[in-house]
Amino acid sequence: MKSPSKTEFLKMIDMHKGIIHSLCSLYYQSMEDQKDVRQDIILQLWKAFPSFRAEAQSGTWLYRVALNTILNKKKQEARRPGHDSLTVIEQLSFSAVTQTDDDLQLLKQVIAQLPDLEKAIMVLHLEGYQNKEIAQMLNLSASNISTRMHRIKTRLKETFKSQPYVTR
Amino acid sequence: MSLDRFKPAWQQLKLNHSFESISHEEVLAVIAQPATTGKYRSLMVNLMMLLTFLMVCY
Repeated sequence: MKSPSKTEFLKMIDMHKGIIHSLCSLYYQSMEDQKDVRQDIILQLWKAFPSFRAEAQSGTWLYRVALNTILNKKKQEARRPGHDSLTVIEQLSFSAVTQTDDDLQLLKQVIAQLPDLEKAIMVLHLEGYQNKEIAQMLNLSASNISTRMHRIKTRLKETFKSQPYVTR
Repeated sequence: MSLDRFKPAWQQLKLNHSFESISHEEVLAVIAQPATTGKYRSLMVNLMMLLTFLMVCY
């Protein structure tokens, strides 16, 4: 029999499964890796669930826990030998879809080019969070976020210059 | 170039992924195994889901 908190947790996961799947797919290509990180996220969300009720916005809480889980996992993976070969595979799969002009594909391409932390910042920006809120969620300073946002925009401008067929 | 042009696409991406399920069995199996990590946990989750399925069938 499920405890009330487990029932509540399952409801919360159901409500936000779109965000969880989206974040996993932005950071990992293979289904196996996505499943692995999804389970890491679920576990961290469960551990942090007591703090869930204290926060007014469940989405904010979920983004904070999920993105920090992914970023920590990526940091751990970067320290392991053999990480470079995986990065190459990810970049190759990115280059295979560069010619589409569909906005959704374009968004995936744009995010795929960004370093892990910038990906998180861009996602939170697209979700409508202000730099100050993003800074709190990712445990960074607001000025750090502003600098990185500027870098993201510069990088995008350069990408769009070199790929004129994606500009509209 | 404004990043805001991608906001509708981000909403679309979330919507598309919201049709993919996360089974309650998977969630319950994950939260029941807090001490295990990574690939080993995936294996344990799959095993627990299989056992649950077999018990239901039986």
